[in-house]
Amino acid sequence: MGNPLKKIVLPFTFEKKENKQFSSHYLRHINNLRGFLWVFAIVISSSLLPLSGLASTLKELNLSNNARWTIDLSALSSNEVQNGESAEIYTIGFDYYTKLTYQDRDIATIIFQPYWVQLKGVSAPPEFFDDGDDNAINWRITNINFTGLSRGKFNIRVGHFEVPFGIEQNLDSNGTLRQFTFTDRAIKADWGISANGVLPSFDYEFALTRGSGNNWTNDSDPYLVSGRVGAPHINNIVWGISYFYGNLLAPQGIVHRRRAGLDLAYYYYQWEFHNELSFGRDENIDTENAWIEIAWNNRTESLKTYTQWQYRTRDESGDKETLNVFVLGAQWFVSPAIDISAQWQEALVPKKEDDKSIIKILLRWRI
Amino acid sequence: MMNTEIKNICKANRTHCFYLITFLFLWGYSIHSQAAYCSLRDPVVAINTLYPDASHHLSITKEVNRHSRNQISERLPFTLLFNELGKHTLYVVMEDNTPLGFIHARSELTGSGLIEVVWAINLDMTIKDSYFQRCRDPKSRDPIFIADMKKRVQGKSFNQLLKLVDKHQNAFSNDNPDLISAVTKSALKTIAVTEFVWGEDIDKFKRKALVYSIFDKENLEINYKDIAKKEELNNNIVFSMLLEDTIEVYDVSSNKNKVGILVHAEWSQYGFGGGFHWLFSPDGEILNITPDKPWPSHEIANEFDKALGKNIKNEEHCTTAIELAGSKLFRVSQW
Repeated sequence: MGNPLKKIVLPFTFEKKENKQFSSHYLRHINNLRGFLWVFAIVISSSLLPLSGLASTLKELNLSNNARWTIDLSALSSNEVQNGESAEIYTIGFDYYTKLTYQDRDIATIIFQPYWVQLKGVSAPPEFFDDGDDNAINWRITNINFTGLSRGKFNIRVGHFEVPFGIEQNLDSNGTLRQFTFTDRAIKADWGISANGVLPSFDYEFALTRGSGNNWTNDSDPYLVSGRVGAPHINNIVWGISYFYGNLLAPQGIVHRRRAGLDLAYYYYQWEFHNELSFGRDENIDTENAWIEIAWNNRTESLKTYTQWQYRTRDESGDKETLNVFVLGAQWFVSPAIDISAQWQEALVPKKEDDKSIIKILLRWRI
Repeated sequence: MMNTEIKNICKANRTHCFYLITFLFLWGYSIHSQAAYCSLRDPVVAINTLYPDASHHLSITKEVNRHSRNQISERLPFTLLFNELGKHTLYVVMEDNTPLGFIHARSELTGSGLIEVVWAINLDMTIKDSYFQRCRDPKSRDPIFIADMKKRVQGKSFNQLLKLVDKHQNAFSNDNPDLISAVTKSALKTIAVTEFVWGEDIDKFKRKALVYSIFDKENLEINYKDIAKKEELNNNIVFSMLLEDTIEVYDVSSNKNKVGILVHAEWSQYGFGGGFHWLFSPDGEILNITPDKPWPSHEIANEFDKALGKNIKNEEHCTTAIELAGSKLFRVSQW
């Protein structure tokens, strides 16, 4: 097998794909929905089976009392400084959250986030788009977490959720410019099942997932095992150790990828310090990843500024490739519903010919 | 001229025009949901720490709106910030069938940023305990400070907490007054908000706690009983210490068998007012009397305790004002 990941790909670089296949495009949407319906059919069935007396059970099950929902609109503009090329991403999403209750007891938490995403001129789009001018449904976080088993200490989550690894586990990067280290693993969320829980001295989540990202697919039989154990997320010092192992479905085919990671967060008044170190292999390539972020919030947290530095190496039998990137960004909540974000991403020395300086601006409204 | 320009802009880029119009529309439409909902987390550690005997909990999510804000400002020398409005959750903590109390988390602005305190509230709406779910001030992890802070608020009712802050919203404290003020304000807001927004739910779980504490049975049902002859109340209940308009009657049953009668009524005697739950057996014995708020003194509590176990079905057997009030309420419950 060749090396499908020879080149480190940053999201939204600027190469256009051609030959859009409309039939396969729509078949992919159908396949996407099929996966979602399959998972939820199992979820609903499994929630009802253990309970005796179906009619009376259904009467006392409640889905709507704790519901919250929002329409989430955003427009992202990404501009390359050197040659002025630009790309745009528009999203319209539905963000739904509720608790499933039975009598006087919480049984499960349900999150449902389908987002319609339209790309314009995006090079290297995520694998569930046909090309950089495509549109698709992105299942951001869509799952049911059975929390009524053991007072939150042992829960079972089924659906599409963030792969538990590293600093991502405790920080919210849903729909924001500010992202962390998922590009190193090339997967942010996946379909599958996890055991998770919160205990007084540690949090944990261990997952077995499909390894295909946004779309459920059986092609090439991918899989992913991942997990993280860490100090409680409510502490001011939070550490965690993570593991990631599997065959992931990439546009080039199946890629065997493994990582071990250590993350650390420290909060001091309005300052946040985040750090993640990981190492592993992509096929026969050794990888190392170091990531640091310093963030500052104003007193009311309507403004967040952050700077990140990411250093990655990929070593294939002494042929070493390095990614050295600096990010500076800010997120401003103009009102509780509207936020504007801006981010500048610059490659540091050693600078390569295809390294790009990118400025991104994001407008977001939550109705 | 202006219209032509707008048309040209729209023709040039309809997508941008759509977003511009949407943006202007939404700008004036204030909403309250910053982060995606997948970032919401239950205060699991706080619930398990503050109620170690709990078996499970129930979430009740409700809207805290501008009306709530106005109402709360009438009880407090300060009120909610606009970014505190929106949907919030009250957690009812249960031990099997019996409610133990409530959990509510509130954010508060301090000089060094936002803090989030999880409050455990007793059924009588006094503060049971507290837990810093989020506080970036290292002081919040200091055991001595935590102990002092808890001592300050534990067991306190709304009125007792109100005496801990001055008219400028500052807490009377020399040690870290900013954080202490924020915590005290948070406790006051928590009681005020939960009583106003979740009042009906609180009453429901108080009733449940009371009947499960008296009857050693499973599957108790508490059903509201509509008193059809409401107008007769004015003629029958002339006893001035009971506010007749506030009387509510509930039948308590187990497996379809009536095991008790629960009556809630407002009381104004002995120098304090407020609601009381009276629990009677079906044949008229007073099983329990519980005030909505804490007893103001042991003496008053003892006076009410003396009525427990007395059968007040027949008014003529009543020897105290409390027994007579119970007798009137029992009669109302039989209509």
